[in-house]
Amino acid sequence: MDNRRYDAYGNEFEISKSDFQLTQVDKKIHDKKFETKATTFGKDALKRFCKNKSSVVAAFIIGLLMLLSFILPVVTPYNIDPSNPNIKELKMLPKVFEYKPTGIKDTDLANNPNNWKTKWNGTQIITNVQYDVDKELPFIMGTATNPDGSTKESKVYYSKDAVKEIDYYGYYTNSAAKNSAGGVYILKTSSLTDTKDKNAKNFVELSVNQTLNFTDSENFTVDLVLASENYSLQEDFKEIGAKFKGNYRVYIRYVEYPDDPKFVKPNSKHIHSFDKTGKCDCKAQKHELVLRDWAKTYEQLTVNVSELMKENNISEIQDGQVVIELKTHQTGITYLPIVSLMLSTDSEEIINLPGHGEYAKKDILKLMSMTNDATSKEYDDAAQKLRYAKLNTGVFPIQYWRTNGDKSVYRAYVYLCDFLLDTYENTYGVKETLDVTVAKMEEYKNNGWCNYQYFQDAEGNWQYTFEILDPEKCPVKEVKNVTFAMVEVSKNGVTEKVLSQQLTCDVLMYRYLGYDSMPKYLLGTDDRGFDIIVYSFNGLKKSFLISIIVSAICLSFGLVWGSISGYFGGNVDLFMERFCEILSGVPSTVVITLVVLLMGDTIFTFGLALCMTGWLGIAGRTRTQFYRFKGREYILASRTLGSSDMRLIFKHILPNSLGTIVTSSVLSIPSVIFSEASLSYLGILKGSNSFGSVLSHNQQYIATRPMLIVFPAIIISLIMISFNLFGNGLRDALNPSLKGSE
Amino acid sequence: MWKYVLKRIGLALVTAFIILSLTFILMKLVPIDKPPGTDDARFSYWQSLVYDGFVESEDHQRLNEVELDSVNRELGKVYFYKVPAMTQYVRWIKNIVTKWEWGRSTAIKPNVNSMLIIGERLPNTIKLNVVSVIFSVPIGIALGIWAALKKNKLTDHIISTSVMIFISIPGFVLITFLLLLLCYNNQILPSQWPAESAATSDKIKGYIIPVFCLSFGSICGYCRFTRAELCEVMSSEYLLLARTKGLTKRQAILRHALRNAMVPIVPSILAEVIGLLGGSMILERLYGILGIGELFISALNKKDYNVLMVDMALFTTISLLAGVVLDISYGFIDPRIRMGAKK
Repeated sequence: MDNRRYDAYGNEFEISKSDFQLTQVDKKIHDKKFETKATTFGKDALKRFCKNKSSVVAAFIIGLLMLLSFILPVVTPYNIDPSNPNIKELKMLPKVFEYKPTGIKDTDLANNPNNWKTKWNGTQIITNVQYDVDKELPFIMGTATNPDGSTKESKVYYSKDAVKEIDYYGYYTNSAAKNSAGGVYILKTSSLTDTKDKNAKNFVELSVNQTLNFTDSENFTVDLVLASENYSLQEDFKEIGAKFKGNYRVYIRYVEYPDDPKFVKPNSKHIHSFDKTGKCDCKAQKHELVLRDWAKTYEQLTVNVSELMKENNISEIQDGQVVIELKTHQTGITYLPIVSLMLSTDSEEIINLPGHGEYAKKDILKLMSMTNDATSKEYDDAAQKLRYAKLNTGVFPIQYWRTNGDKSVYRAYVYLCDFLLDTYENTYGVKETLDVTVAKMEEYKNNGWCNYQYFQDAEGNWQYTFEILDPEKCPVKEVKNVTFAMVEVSKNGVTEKVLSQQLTCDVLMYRYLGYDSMPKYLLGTDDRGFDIIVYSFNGLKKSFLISIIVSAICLSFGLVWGSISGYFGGNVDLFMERFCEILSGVPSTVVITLVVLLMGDTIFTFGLALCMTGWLGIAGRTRTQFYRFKGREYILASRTLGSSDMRLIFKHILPNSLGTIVTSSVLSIPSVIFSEASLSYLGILKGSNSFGSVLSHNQQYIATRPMLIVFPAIIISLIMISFNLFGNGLRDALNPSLKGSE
Repeated sequence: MWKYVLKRIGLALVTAFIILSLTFILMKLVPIDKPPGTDDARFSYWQSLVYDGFVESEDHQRLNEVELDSVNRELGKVYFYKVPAMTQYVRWIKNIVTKWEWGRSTAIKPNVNSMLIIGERLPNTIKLNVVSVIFSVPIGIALGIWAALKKNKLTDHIISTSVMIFISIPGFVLITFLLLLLCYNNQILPSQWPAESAATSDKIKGYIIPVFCLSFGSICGYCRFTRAELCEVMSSEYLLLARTKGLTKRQAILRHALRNAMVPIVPSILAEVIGLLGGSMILERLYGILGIGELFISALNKKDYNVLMVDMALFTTISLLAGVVLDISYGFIDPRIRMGAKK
């Protein structure tokens, strides 16, 4: 190795290793850390975003709502898709607190609405509902299904647990009398114009539907009270132009059956049919025992039938009916106002008559005795006492009436009540139901909640036993009745006789529906039983999903379109711009309407409709960004170095313009939610089941149950505000040049 | 300038023509449902379509075609057949050009020219919008000026924040809350648009909620816009120059700042006035106002496509017109801007 070196003047000198000194002692060279932190675009943006406090809060709220909307519908025990036919009254009211009785008995609750104000405890004021004085419960008329499948109209009572405070009152009404109304019963002949028919009878009659067997020993007494001349009601009758000029009579109609063994007693209770259905030549003889012959005076009539029978030497009357007959008057309509018709006896058999006290038909009215001058309240008490007293002593008003003429009720006494209804007890409390099947019972039995057995006794009749084993869990409170029947079932061509059972049970509904405890909805439910909180958030989830998807589609398409249009410019740009111009000229409502008309109103078509015009904004923005950046020097430099178009677009221009584009894309999310909500609200979109449809559906309850609409409205406002704040923050963060400006 | 205006209007007309043609053809592709009802009702329904040539009627059944509907009449059965969409389109154009007939209503007011129905509905919408513009423009601009003058002070913060909040709240939420507060809970105002026969005081009361709802959004919009523009002008150099020349702050703001800030605001007001003619569907629907927005919804629900078409045409024209006015008015208001001028 040649170690010779020459200096500038040509003199030779030697350098050895010892001539040098290492500046660093260590053998390794360590990099020094930068004084400043290196930062990326994202980190910088985040830092700037975090400085904007309101945007951070808004982002937090959006995140929270989004989280809730995805989690809440999943974790809630309250199904938002109940199609349970058992629950008829589903409008549960907000319940934050438990109901506590005030302890103050207010006698006039209806006129003191402040006392009725519900206090977020799930109770509701219900006014003007019919009231049953005997059971002390309000009721509505509904149809009940008999075990044999037929339906009858009957009273449906509110459950005792559900009715919290009650205030009842009675009043007189002349309008179509409601059930349980007592009053003056008017027997009325038809007007003359109606009786042109030659076959029409020249009288109308009112007969007691129930036939009785009278004997001369058991003190049968008929007690008829008419609204007499000096009866105060007469004043009221003048209002309707009625005049008391009826010519009437009262008698007991009965039949004497022949001794012939061939004679078959017809099933019908009505005497009219007796002589038609006998299968022998002999006829049943019709007889009348007159209690009062034709008269025009409206005096009270009290006749001891048994004594009258003794006088007339009749020992027994079979299938007797009390009949009041009213003659048609020549000059006009005749009225007979009947206050009451009572039948008293000391016969044990009649007192214990089954079905007594039930009203099988709607137009059958209970007639009660009435004093002239009693106020409604006094009347109410007096009538009740009287009725109970007479019931206990074997005297009862006859409740079944039939007539061949007109009848109506005048000054009917109706009981109505206002009460506080616990909507939760009403729906989820104890209810009588036919829905518990044997299979369900077996299931409960297997769970060890109850024991249900059915067996045939010595006489071959089916019997059942029921016992609750776990009162904490068993849904069935009591089995009231079981109807056993043998039903023919054909399976694979083989007909078998199978035992079928129909159970009538008292069921604790919330357990029957699978809840462990009584449900509690903080803000109540709508008419379909959806918890309004959960349902709103479920709708919000759908709205979020659709808006994110729409935004993503619009972003990708708009980006491509805008990039091509902006980058290439010239004729391509001109053509693409004209296309956009025309498309943007169509109002969005028109586009959505057309798509909905052509493709049906589902959430999918809605998304499609929004995508059709939604990309225009993104495309326009991308185009301007491309115009802005494509002339820059660094692009020129890159192009000079031979970059392809793809590289220029994706590596240089797009990253620079992405901030603005992403911001506008994020800001389009709330506008999608908003337009979806608006269109659902207007009813253009129906099948979406999203946030707007929640609002739209609950619009009808704005006056009665505002919470159903206030809560979703607050949520959507919150979302809009948050998104706007968040969008502002994002725009400032992603675009340094806009920093600080609004 | 005039050349530019004419060009813009011409372009807008061409665009409108294309959009309306597309809309018409697309709408005619929607399958027609058989209307429910008696023979007479159905006959009058089809007859109104026959009148415009959108459906053809025959007294005998065609061989290879399924009829839309057949109606029993005194003189025998009448069959109705669909006409191809393009033929309908040609007839539609011909009707408009020769008779100014845009098609007859089938459901809303059967057999009445759709244009007449629009004419009946339009006054309600216009009245309401004029009143709301009268309220919203001065209030919005005044608030905006106030906020800009007190920039970054408490007043500005309060105004800006409430504007931000109220601009975000959807219109239907606002209407709902107003209805709830003023109509259902306190019963101060009517919950429905008063009928024609109502007393004058009731009619005036009926205006309050709709005008409030309509102007609320506009007030917020104007306020925000004015504030932004005025802030920008206030920080410009010529205003500083004006102050240095000795003008008081008041003079500088009134003579220089405001005038310049108004340049972009006035066109946007003009455009919005025209845009408002479209009516607010939600407001009209919820408050029961018989305007053209409500007409749109009921036509859609009742499937009265001819009325729907005219309503859509109106919306399209209005939005295009608003765009044109916005562009042109820039040139008229600010002499510095020469729209469409070459470099």
